[in-house]
Amino acid sequence: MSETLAREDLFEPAFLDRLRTLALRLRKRRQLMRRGSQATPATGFTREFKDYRHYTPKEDYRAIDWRLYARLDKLFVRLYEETQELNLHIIVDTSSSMARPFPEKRRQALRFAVALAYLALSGQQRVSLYSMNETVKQELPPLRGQGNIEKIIQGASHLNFDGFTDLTRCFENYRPSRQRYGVIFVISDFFGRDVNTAAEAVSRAATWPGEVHFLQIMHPQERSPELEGELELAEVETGEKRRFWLTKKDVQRYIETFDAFADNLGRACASHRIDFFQCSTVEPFEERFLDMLVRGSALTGSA
Amino acid sequence: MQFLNPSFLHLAWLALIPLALYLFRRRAKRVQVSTLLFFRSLAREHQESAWLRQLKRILSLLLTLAVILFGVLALARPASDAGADTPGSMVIMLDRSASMAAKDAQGQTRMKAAQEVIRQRVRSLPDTVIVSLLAFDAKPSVLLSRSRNRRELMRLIDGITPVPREGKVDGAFTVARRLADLEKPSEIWVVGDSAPTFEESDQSAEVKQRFTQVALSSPLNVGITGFQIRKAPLTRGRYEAFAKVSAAVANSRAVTTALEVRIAGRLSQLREIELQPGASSSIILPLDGVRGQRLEIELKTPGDCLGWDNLVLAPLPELKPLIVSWFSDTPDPFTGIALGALVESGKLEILKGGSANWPPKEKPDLYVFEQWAPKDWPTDRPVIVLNPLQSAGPLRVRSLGAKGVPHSSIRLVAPDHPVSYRITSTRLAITQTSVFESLGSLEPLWLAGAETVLAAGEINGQRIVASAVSPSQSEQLALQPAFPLLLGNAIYWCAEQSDALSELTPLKPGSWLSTTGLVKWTEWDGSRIVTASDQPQGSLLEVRRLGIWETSDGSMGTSLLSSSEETNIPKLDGKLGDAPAPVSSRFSLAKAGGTWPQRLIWALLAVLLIESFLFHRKALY
Repeated sequence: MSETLAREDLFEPAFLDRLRTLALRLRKRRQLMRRGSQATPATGFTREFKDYRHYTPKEDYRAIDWRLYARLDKLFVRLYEETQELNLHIIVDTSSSMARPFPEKRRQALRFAVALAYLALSGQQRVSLYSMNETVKQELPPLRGQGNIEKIIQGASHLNFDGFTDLTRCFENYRPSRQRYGVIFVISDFFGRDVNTAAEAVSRAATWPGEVHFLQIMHPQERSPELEGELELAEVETGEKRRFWLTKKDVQRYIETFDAFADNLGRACASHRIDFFQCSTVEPFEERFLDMLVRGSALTGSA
Repeated sequence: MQFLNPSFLHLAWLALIPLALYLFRRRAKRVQVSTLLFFRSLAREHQESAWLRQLKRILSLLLTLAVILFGVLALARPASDAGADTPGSMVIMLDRSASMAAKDAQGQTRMKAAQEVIRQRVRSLPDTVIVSLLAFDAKPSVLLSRSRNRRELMRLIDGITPVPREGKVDGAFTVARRLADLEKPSEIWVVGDSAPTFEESDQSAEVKQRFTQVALSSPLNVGITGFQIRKAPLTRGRYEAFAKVSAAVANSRAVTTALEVRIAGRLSQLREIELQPGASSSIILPLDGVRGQRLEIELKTPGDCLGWDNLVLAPLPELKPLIVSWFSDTPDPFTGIALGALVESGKLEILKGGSANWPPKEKPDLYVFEQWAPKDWPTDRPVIVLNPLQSAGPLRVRSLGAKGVPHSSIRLVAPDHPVSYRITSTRLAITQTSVFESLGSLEPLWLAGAETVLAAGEINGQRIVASAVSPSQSEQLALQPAFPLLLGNAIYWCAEQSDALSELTPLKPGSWLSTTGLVKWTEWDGSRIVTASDQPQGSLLEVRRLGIWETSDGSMGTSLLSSSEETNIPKLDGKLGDAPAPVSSRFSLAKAGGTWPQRLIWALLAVLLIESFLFHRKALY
């Protein structure tokens, strides 16, 4: 099914203004949080001074710290952190289940994607946008510079939500190169072929070079469906139909199964040092976005 | 096949409900979901294919329709053999006389057997048949008149119990005939142990008569068919009981029965009597006792089928003095001597007077007129006329003069008559003083030559004893015990029905007792002696029990069956009418699946079971 979202539906005119404000709020909150906080042991991409070491011949003499030579009468070379460009990989689940029967999921997922991209572009970082259903497909080449946000928005608006999610295959095939080392955000509902598929896929994602974040978007009715009686349920991804006779007791069991799935996924992520974040379509986007970022990410420099 | 309750067939429209529900059934709601992952784990998933689902739906509809069909048919009660001769109305006549209490070897009374027969027949009757129920003993009682209410009919049938009374079908049949005439074609169905006599003239195409006999196949019964307590003549404070013991004609063999006589609970006499089938034996039992003591005469016969006629309970009475008014202008001294001898026994009071004293101020129990009779003949009391000199009342007499005609011998014409009891005619010489020109309905007892000298009998219900003998001139008579014996016999025979002896006369169930207070009973219920009480409606109480009754004013008496008809328990005779279905055949019918409604109910339950298994076995509620 080919469905695209109008730009106006996805982003209101004031959305980008709010995003800028959001970036400022994020910076402010980050500064506030830094006070008293300890540096994280995570590997960073800063330009700060790192260390000294003895000069050895054939080295670039321009790196000698002459002031130190004057004081100590020994040749030392200043070492700097190697400046590396941060890459943000945004993988959006474009299977049918992200658009139907609850289009709010697509809207929420794309908002997260654009907001993350904006944040990265404004930090002069490269942003890549991928779609994921049966396989992972790069929708936009790596973009850099704040002026490319419009391209990102256009690309996100024209994403085609169709097909089914093959998490195993997608996570198997996708692997960012060393050159594109960075932060990876996977925005999905993580509904695979089986309840254990998502947890298995986590182990594959753990091998990706970089910082991985899983963002699960879901609709409240996916957790507690308002269904009862004789029903013919049709899965939007595969079109498979099943008949059920649901009672309140069955719905309660469904909720328990769903919660067990989410808990299992969360535990699997935690065990592989992958950040797992859930967001419902009815929750206020801006609050949840900030909540997600303050949990710590290289993207925001708080890692 | 026809339906006994065809009105229930209208309920077949109920089949439209599942049909409508099937045609306009709510389709399953189709809902799109993001994933079926979490639904698959639920147990109530219907994974069958569409064609199987459709097949199941149709099968479920068919089974539901079958359930309704079977239910409606069961309610409509189909019957394959309701019979082409089903009448438009039926009058059921159920015998509830004493003999219906006869029990078989299993202890089942004939009444229970009759009720079972009626229940079976009524169940097989279509609801459209109007039924009347009439129970009869000595008199008929219409319990249900022209009704289609089967439940009420069954309730009334179950409530009928045998009563200790004789059964007389004639009166009941007249009532039944009138009921049957109201709704033709009709059937009068008599259920009892003895066959009624159907008149040929009563048989018609529109009113059929049918009899079902529920008698025992081999009855054995011996019972007391007659009983009376009387004072022993010329004795003081002594009684004698007369009892007649009979064996039923249908008894298969001669029976030896033990007769026990108990007074105040103590065994007084014990006799063994052997009776051939249909034979009777009369026994006079001298009794010693005082008023109020209970006399029990019980027959103990092994295998006896009817208990009501096996025991007689009676109180020993105390006789009031019998008041005799003796009117004579010239009383015979020998008559005076004889009456004096009776007075000495203490049970007789003589009021002596002449023609001038007629009529007496207080009415006696008995008049004795000697050589005189009033012109206004008393009709309300028995009369003994001795040596009449002229016609009086119903007697036409011609006097033979003062000397009379001597006879050297007399002849006893009716030696069994109570007046002649214990009197022998040998060496009796009399002098006849008058000739009876017309005796009316009086029976000659003594003949002297060709002339009647002693006669007794009833004229218009009045007992009269007339003697044409002069005691003073018949010395051989007057000086022998025969004369006071004759006078005593005559007095007691005449006064037999008087108030003084009324306590000795037993009542029969169905008769009325005049009393206003509570009546206490020492009742024989056929198997044991129990106490009971009855409150009379107004001043009369219908006697319904056997045993000793005692009114609030101290009067006592006895009530007993004493019926040779009821004691004579009939035997089952296949020629007399329809025989009830034997028990074994009924059981075999039940084994084979029962009646049509029963089969349909079984089928209904089976279908419900199949439907539950096919469609609801995985249901969780």
